[in-house]
This record gives sequence, C-alpha cells and structure tokens, in this order.
Amino acid sequence: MNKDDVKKLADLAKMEISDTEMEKMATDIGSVLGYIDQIKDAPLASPKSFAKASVPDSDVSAEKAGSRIESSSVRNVMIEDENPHETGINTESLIAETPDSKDNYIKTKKIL
Amino acid sequence: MDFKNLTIKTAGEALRKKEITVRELCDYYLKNISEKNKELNVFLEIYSDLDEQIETAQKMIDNGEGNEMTGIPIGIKDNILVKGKKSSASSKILEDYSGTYNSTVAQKVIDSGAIILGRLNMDEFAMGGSTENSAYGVTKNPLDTERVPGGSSGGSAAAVTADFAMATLGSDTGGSIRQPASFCGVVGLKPTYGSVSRHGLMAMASSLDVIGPLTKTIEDSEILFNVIKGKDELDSTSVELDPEMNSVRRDEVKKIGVPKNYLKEGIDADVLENFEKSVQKLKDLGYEIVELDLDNLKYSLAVYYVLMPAEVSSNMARYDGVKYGKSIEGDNLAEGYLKTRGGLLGSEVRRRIILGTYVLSAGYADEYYDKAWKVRNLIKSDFEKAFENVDLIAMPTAPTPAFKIGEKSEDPLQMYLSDIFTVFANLVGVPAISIPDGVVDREGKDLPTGLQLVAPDLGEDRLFEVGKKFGK
Repeated sequence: MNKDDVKKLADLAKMEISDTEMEKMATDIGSVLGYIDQIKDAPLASPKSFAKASVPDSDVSAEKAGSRIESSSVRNVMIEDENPHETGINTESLIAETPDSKDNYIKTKKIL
Repeated sequence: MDFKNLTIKTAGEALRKKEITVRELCDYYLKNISEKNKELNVFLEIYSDLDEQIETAQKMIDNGEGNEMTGIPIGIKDNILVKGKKSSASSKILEDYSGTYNSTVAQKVIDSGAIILGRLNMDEFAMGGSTENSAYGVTKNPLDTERVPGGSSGGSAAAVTADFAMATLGSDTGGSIRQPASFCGVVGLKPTYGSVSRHGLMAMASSLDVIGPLTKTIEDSEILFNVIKGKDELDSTSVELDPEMNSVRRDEVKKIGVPKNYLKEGIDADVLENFEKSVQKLKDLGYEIVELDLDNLKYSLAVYYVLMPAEVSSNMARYDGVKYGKSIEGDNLAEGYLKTRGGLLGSEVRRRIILGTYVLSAGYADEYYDKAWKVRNLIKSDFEKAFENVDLIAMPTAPTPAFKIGEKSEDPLQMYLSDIFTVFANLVGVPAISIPDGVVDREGKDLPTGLQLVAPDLGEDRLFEVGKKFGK
C-alpha cells in the first residue's frame, strides 16, 4: 500500500488526511495487511463454510429468528410499523444536538 | 464499616439491613475519586444529579423495593447513552453530545435503583487496547501508574481496581472488557452476543459488539449481568434467554478443554506459567482437562482485523458534522465532510476507517471481506464441534500483563496482537469471562494476569459456577 492508495481511500471515506499521516498510514496498514493475508491459507473445504452474513430467510418469523443465536447467519428481524408516538415529541432534543439548525430543521450548505 | 472490602452482594445486604446508607456508600467512592481521579484519569465526568439518585434509591430500600443493585454506585463507559447526560465515546467529534434517550442497559440499572456516578474514559469509539486513544488523555493503571489499564474499557476496569465504583459497565468488540479486566485484576464478562441489548450503545462493529459488567467478584458479575440481560424489542439482534437451550446444565460441567497448540507462541513465559497453574487448579477441583485442537483459531485475529474495520467504516459514516456532534465548516457540503471527519476523528479511528474502506472496496472485497466471513464460519463450526466434547474452554485472557504507556502506541500491529486470545469469542458469539488468576513480576511490581473461561452460547451460568469454585 502506498500514499496514493491511502489518498484514494481517504477520498472515498470523506476524510481529509495530511501528507505526513498518509505516509505513516500506508506503512501501518501495509503491515496489518501483511498479517491479515494469512486468512488466504485457511482451509475452506468444509461444507459448513457457507458465504457471508446476508442470507435473509424470508420464511423465518421474527420470533423464530430471535430464538437462536445465529451470529454467522444474521437475519433481518422486522417489526410492524404501528403505534407511532406523538409527532414532534423528540424534535427539540434531537435538533439541540445538531451543529446547525433553523426553525427545527437541520441546516446544511447548499447541495446543488 | 469496612467499605473497601464490600461487594455488590455484601453492600446490598448492609444497605437492606440499614447498617449503611446509600449516601455513605456513595461518599466513600466520591472521596476516592476526588483524591485520585486527577492522577489516574478514570472518570471523565461525575454526574450532577447524584443527590436525587441517592434519594430515590434510599427510598426504594426503605420501602423494601428494588433488587440487589439498588443503591449500588456504578460507573458507565462513555459510549453508553444516558438521557440528558454527556456521552462522547472519548472523542472530540462528540465532545458536547448528550444522550437524547436512555440506552436499554442504562434504563435497566436506573430502574433497579443503582447509582450511576458518572462516565468513564475509554479508547475513542472503543477502538484500541490501552485507553491511550482517548481524546481526553490516557487512563493510568491504578496498580502501576506507568502502565496502561488495557482497553478499550480501560476506565471501566481501572474504576473497579481504584475503588472509584463498586462495579462498571463496559463494551467488548474484540476483548475490550476482558483484556482491561485482566490488566487491572478484576472480573470482566463478555456475555453471549445478543444476550444484552445494545440499544443506545454507540455502534463500533455491529456483528461483534456486546455490553457487559466489570466487577470485583464473580458473584457480582452474575448479579449485574442478570440486571442488564434480556431480549429487547429495540435491538433486533437481542435474543430470548431460554435456559432449556443449554444442553448441559451448569451442575453438570465436567470437562474443560484447553487449546494447547494455540498457546505455544506470542505469550510471555510467566503468563503461560500462571495459566498452567490455573489449569492444574481446575484439575484439582475435579474437572477433567481435555486437550483441544482448534486448528482454525490461529486465523481469528486476522479475520477480526478484516471484519471489524469493515463494520467500523460503515458505522462511522454517520459522523458527518451534519446530524449531530461537532462540525468544521467548509466552502461547500463536501468540503465540510472532509474537514469534519479528517479533523475531529482521532488517528486510530481514521486508520480503521481507511482499512475498512480498503477491504470492502471493489476488487478486494472477495479477497478479504468475503473470505474473512467464510473463515469466521469455519472457526465457529470448530467451536461447535469442540463444545460437543467439552463443557467449557480455558485460555489465558491476554498474552502479557499490562504494558507501559507509549510502549505499543506507535505500532498498531503490536497493539492489535494483544487481542490474540480474546477476539475469537466475539467472532463466534460465545460468552467468556476473565478472572484474576495470579501475578507476574515486572520491574519489581506485581501485575495481574487473567484466566479466561469460555462457554457455549448462553452458557453464562457455567462461567459463574466454575468461576466461583475457581475463585475460592
């Protein structure tokens, strides 16, 4: 990994990073990636080594999905969109935490 | 009354027998804090509403209400929300942020009448193993102030050791409760993934994060865990705690497995020696010790350092300087993001975001992220197989005792290696506890080490049962 790679990644992640830090980061991340590379040696012949998390099981109800730990096959658990709380009860406290606001709206720079 | 040796259990009894008052108990801790917090930097803030909290708790006790946590003074890690109280995750970007609602765990301890004294220092957004990454300065290990308390729940562990609180709450993504517990000589429990609600915990790596207690004793760990656990509608990953799920009940624990092959390198000789003595002690207690081959365990740290940063990079996207927290203004919206995130997130957080962005980027996701998930499942199936033959697994908690402040902060890989014996439990989801099991000498100081016991999913009872026998 070099400084240019870090620059590209920093742009993707929307972070401004100084030149000095990019140099150091390239070295640090390079050594971490060197360590991580050993996962390529892991034996993946086992039939249980199915693919990653996103295998939503549509026929599994919320109760069923919650009744067993499935940390390696996470399912979406949906709840009914019902019984909403009274409109506006949280507005003031949430707006109070925003850096900039006007008339109970979050204020940003012009987007277009 | 000898406050120093009180536990949640004995203090609770004394409170209910009216031998002490909630105020006396709180004053004891507040005095310790006022004398030593400046040096140790454990609490970031002591809450201003203690009088009201104390009054409420005392009333509950006087009316014979409440539970074992009523009137017990605790501290809370700075990434767990308490309504109306500052919660910064030890970051600059959330320096002035206040919780707009109670996390479920905070609500549960408040409902039980526990006193939340204040919020505790940590590595920024829980990213680190030494509490050196806090934007508010390192926490010092109360047992040797030249050394770190571990991390990321370093403040939570140091608070119990320094007698600043009876117990504390921390969070554990790769060892962040157990490793500081080991470094500070206290008991730290990482519960089963999903057994404690994370509603109101600032997300770091959502497939790994869990909240748990740090305490003086195993008994106390059990008491606090029982108060905070349970399924929560507000956390879709929380699970029903059904004791019937345990195929072996706790009084049937007979066999304890030890993955000897995994302990051959990367561990200090005297730390390994303490562990071997602990294994002998378990044998003397009547448990059968079985050698385990967990061949893929050696990949756990590598897998962790792919999946964790990937999840971090996604979770940290919310800090954009628009919705909440601090902001640095730019000439336009995009420049505002760049400046805010570059200028207000700490260097370790930025490093993990970059690493996560890399392993998720097109062309590398197959090689790293997808592969890591597959190896994670391989490790998980190894543990499932192992638990068909043994009831518990024993390991050291950390490969070294507490290291010196600054010793590893310039070399991230070295820092990451201190998680080598803890990350697997987060990858697999199983519960694990760190129990003090001896000391090793470093430059004339006795530093504690930890024995880690690991149970199958929802097997916390087994950890408590064997832990209590071991502790005696």
